[in-house]
Order: sequence, then C-alpha cells, then structure tokens
Amino acid sequence: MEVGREMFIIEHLPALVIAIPLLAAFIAPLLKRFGKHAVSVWSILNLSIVECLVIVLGYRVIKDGIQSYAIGASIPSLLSPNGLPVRIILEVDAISSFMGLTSISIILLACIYSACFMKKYKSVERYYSLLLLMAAGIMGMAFTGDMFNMFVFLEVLSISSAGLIAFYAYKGEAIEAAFKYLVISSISALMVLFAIALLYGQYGLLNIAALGAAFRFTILDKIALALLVSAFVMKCGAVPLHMWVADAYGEAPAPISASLVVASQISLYALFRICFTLFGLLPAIQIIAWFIILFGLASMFVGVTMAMPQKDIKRLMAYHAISQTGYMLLGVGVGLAVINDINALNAFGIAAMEGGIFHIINHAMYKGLLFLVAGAIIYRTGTKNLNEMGGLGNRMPITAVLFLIGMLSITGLPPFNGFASKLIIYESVFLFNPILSVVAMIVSILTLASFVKVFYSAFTGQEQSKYKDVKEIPAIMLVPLLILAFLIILFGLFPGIILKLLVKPAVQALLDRAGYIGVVV
Amino acid sequence: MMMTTLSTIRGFWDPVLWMAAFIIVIVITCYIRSLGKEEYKRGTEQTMVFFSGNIPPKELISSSNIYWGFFKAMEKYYTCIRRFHTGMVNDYVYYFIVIVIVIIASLIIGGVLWM
Repeated sequence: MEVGREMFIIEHLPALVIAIPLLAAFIAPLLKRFGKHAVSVWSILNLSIVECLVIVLGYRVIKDGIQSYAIGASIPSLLSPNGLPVRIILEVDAISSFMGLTSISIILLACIYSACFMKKYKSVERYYSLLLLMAAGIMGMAFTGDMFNMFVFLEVLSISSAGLIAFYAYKGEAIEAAFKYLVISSISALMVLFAIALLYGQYGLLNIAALGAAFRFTILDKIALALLVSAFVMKCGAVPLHMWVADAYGEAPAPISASLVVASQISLYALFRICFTLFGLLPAIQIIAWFIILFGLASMFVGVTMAMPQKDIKRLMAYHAISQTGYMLLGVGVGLAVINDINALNAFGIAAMEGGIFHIINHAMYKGLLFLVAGAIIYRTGTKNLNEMGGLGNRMPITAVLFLIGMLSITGLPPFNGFASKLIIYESVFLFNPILSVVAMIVSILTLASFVKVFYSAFTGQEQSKYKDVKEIPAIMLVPLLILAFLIILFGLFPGIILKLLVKPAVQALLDRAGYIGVVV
Repeated sequence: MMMTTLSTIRGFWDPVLWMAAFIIVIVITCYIRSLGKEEYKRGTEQTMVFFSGNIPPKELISSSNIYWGFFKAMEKYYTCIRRFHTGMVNDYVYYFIVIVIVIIASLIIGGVLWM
C-alpha cells in the first residue's frame, strides 16, 4: 500500500508541484477562522512539501533524464498517443528543475519570514493566498511544455504579483506601483498570446517540443519570436523595459520583493527556453543573441548607476536587481551568440552560459537576503529612507553582519558565491568581446560603491536618538536570513560542486534541443 | 583538485586557498600596525575623524551627501538617463512598442541578409 502511494506521488510529481500551491491558495482564506497563524503555518507547510517534491523531481531528472507528464491522460507518460501531443504536457528537464528549486526555496523562506513580518496586518489570509498562487504560477511556468499553458501561468503569476505589490493598499504609491505592474504585465501577456496565435495559426500546435520540430522559419515565426522576446525581456526587468521594477520591488512588502526576484527570473527562463529550444535553429538567432547581450549590458550599467543616487533602500536594491539581471543576460546571450559555432561554444560559450545560469541562483540568494534585511530595517525603524537611518549596527548587529554577507556577495568579492559566477562570466565573456567583460567589472565596482553607501548610512555613522530603543529582529525572521547567508557562504566555498551538480546539467539541458523535443515528438 | 576548487577556462579558483592567503595578509598587516606609535592622546585631534583637514561637522552626513563628486561629474549622464525615467506608464508602453518594432525590423532585414 505504501509502495503504491509512493509510486503514485512519483508518477504525478510534475503535476503535484503545481497543483499543491494552487489548491492550497484557495483553501488558505478558509483557515482564517482558526487564526492568522493557521494561515501562515498552512502556507509554510504546503510550500515545504512542494520544496521536497521539487528536490525529488530534480533528483529524478538528473538520474533518469527528462520527466514528462500528460495532464488528464489515463497514463500520464503517454504523451502523443496518435503521434500528436493533444494534451497539455509538462516537461521537466534540468534547467526547469533548477529554476523550480531556486524559486520555491526563496518563496518558502519569504513565507517563513512573513509569519512574523506580516502578522500586524489584517487580511493576511489574502496575502498568503496570493503568495501560494504566485508559487503555483512560477512552478507552472518552469515545468510546462506547452506555450498556451505558459501564457496561463504567466497570467496567474502576474495577477497574484500585482495583488501582492498592492498589499499596502493604504499607500497611494503601492497602488500606483501595482497599476504599473498590471499594465506592463497585461501588455506582455497580450504579446505572448499574439505570438502563440501566430504559431498556432501556422502549425496547429501549442506544444513547445512539437513546435520546435515543426518550424519552417517564416516571417510570421520571426514576428512571433520578436513579440515573445520583447514580452519576456520586459517581464524580467531588463533595460530599457525596466521602469516598473523600481516601483514594484520598492513598494511591495519586503518578502514579496524577494519573491518578485524569482518571479522575474522565471521570465528570464522563459526567454531562454524560447530562444534555445523553440528558435534555436533559426539562422538569424544571432541577432536575438546580440539583442540579449545589449539588453544585458544596458541593464548592468543603467541599473547600477540609477541605484547609486537612490535614498529609498528598497528602490536602490530594485535597481541593483536590474543590474544583476544584466549579468545573466550577458552570460547566456554570449552562449546563444555562438550556438552555431561549435568551436567557440566549447571554447567559451558553454562557460559563459554556466556563469549566467549560476548567477541566477546566486542572485536569488543574495538579493533575497538583502531584501529581507531591508525588510528587517523597515520592521524596526519604520523608514525606507537611508537619510533617516544611522548607527543601526549597534542595535541590530546580527542583521548588520547578514547585510554585509549579502553586500559582499552581490559586489562579487571573494570568497562569496557572487564572485564565483561573476568570475566565470568575466573570463568567458572576455574571450568573446573584452569590452563587455570590462563593463561587467566596472559595474561590480559601482555596485560595491553603492552598497558601501547603504552600509554606512544604515549601520554605521552617527547613531540616531530616535532609534535608541531599536532591537534585533525576532528569531523567526532571522531564520530565513541565516539560511540564506549560510547558503551564500556554502555556494561560495564549494562553487565547483554546485556547478557540477546544478549548473552544468541545467546548461546542457538548455543546449540539448533535440533531447527536449525527442521526448514528445 | 580539492572539493572547493572551481576550474575555469584559463585557470582555477579556490576559496580555501584565497582565505589562507587572506589570513596571512591580515597577520602581516596586524604585525606592521603593531610597529606603529602607541603614545597618541585620546579625545584630542589625534583621534578625530579625518575630514580632509577640516573639522568634522556635528550633524549627520546623510546618504544623499555621499559620492556628490561622482554625481557632479556624471551630471550630464544623469540628466539624460532621468529624462527616460518619467514614472508614466504611457512611456513604458511606448518604449515597449519601439523595442518590438526594432527587433521585428532587425529580424526581417537581418534574416534576409543572413539567408
């Protein structure tokens, strides 16, 4: 009986990691009658289960290869009964499980942090419900093998994120930020839908793998590619389509800002999936690769230079999130640029992609940590304005040390994890084009300068008399921060192992277009 | 190769070796520092914060005052870049449409040339 249940769970793993947070989101509001804690415990419990399932799924992907699942089929592994994939198919390879693991880990830690951070607010059940929906949207986008399904989950993610950004509804700025995010998301989703319609009209297919095999590279395909790239570039917050990021990240509750980082990264994943798996054989894909590189370059530089003059700690960090997205775009963009040149791909293209993908998980951790530290400061002082802070290091020493770890990591200083991924990017991108690498290094120096300002303004300097009663944050809020700091140090000390276990399989999966298509077609 | 080693294209990175080197540098630095004079007087200008030869101000130096020289030098850049950050959602949509058109045009023109 036990073995049967275990087999059932393993067989339905790809569907369960989406279904559990989705169903839990609808149950969460009903639990309010048992108290606020019941809702937070319910959310943490469900996200922990999803985290475990994603780890098992990732293990199975590494051990047995791509995991696929036909939704609604009597035999879920039977994908194309008549030679055509007629059902919605979930397809989980190493890159999608990498993204799923990264995302769910950050959302789980944000949820634990929220248990204390959000307890003073009414309607927390709505908060947790939306957070669980957000998790379902991210998981769906990571694991789906179907274009229309990706659009649906993109919408689920966007609507839940907009609701969470507007959580502080009593503040006009939060409503404005949510409105901007909603407009941007609607337009992106509309463009994605239009691109899907163009593809469906030509091929009568929605499955990514089947579409990848059927492409004839018509002008309509190129228009669809342009629409998809533009939409996902805007959703991942790359310059010049980044304007919504500072507002959304800045006005959302701190744990939601940390979760929005992984929400943006899942759009980055969708962009990579489209470029490599769907349009990987398009002769003009190098044009898109150069666009991605230029978006990356602009994001790095504009992001960091816009961060430097910010006075609002969360807006400053939001601009840094844009800047760090630039590194990922640069690394993977270089890999895409040389995808048809096997010598260049082996010489530095794969390494550049590894740097970019490694930076995704590193960024999720240190930016997650930094946003949660910003939340801790706001929780205790009630202000986001750096001009009003000072000397908090005496009152909040653990938070100060945790901020320092996040700061050293984002600036790419050894021996933290940010250094390892940036080193790979610098070195490999240098072989592609030295100027790009030099810009990336300058951006790191400016990042350090910017965070030195934050550290000085918040934790050192003259102590403010109004903060003399400020204490360290509660233990429950410290736990996620300590876990993230531990992971940052761990990933920094063992970069080779992380690269071998998580990053290399993810990059190989992204490059193995035939393998992904072959599972379905 | 140790467990902590990361092989890169042109070499390797080992955080444990780096930390060992870092600790050695710290020890040497502390030793050199210990050779310095110790007969300074507390509470005098000898222990005051160095403020470019001026008396440090009593009021708080806020984050807005930091890197003012950098922002002054980059004034033209910031004037230009801030012009794009209007905060208006209409502009965001306008930028998006421009980017879509540029990518479509590049793909179609570039695609013809590529083929």
